[in-house]
Amino acid sequence: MAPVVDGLEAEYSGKVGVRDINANLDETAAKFDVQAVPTYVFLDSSGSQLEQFEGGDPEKLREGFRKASGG
Amino acid sequence: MICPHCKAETSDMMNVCELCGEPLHNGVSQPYVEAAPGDATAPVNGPAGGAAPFEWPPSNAGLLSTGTARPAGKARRGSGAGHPWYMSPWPYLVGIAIVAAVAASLLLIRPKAKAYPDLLVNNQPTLLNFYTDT
Repeated sequence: MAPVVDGLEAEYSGKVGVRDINANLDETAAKFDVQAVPTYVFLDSSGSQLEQFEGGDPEKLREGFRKASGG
Repeated sequence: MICPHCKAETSDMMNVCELCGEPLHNGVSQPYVEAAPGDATAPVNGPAGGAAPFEWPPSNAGLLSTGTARPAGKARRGSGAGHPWYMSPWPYLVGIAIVAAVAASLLLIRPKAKAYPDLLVNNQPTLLNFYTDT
């Protein structure tokens, strides 16, 4: 899924940022109750959670980027 | 009611004693007087010769156990205006206020979504991409 995320990150550059988090090392994974990888969590500009889903579905990722960017 | 003549109990709805046929009027025995023919003004109260004139309500009505007399001088329970509670807007207003207060409290105690501003990249909407290196 890395190429898909990289492509969307480039497409939405300046609108949506991407933070890669190692679920095994970072306690942030526990905050979001991450049970499997890949897991994607979209936050809005205030830091509130918009959406969370597991699995590499490119369409869901694209939809998430679109919603997060307000487009 | 109790017939004062034969002491038999008779329904309050009856105007004569069921046992002896004595005319009754709300618990009071009505002396039977036969009117003279053609005498429309014949007295209906008691035998001639000094009996007290019929009065209604009787002066001792409070002592008669008819169950229908209301003590004089006592207002009905509640307001002096005599309106039942459902005629006043206040019970409804109080009810509406209680419902509104409950709804407002439910809205206030609703848990708010957690925010993680420290995870944002350049304070813009951010995708958190959880991965493993194994």
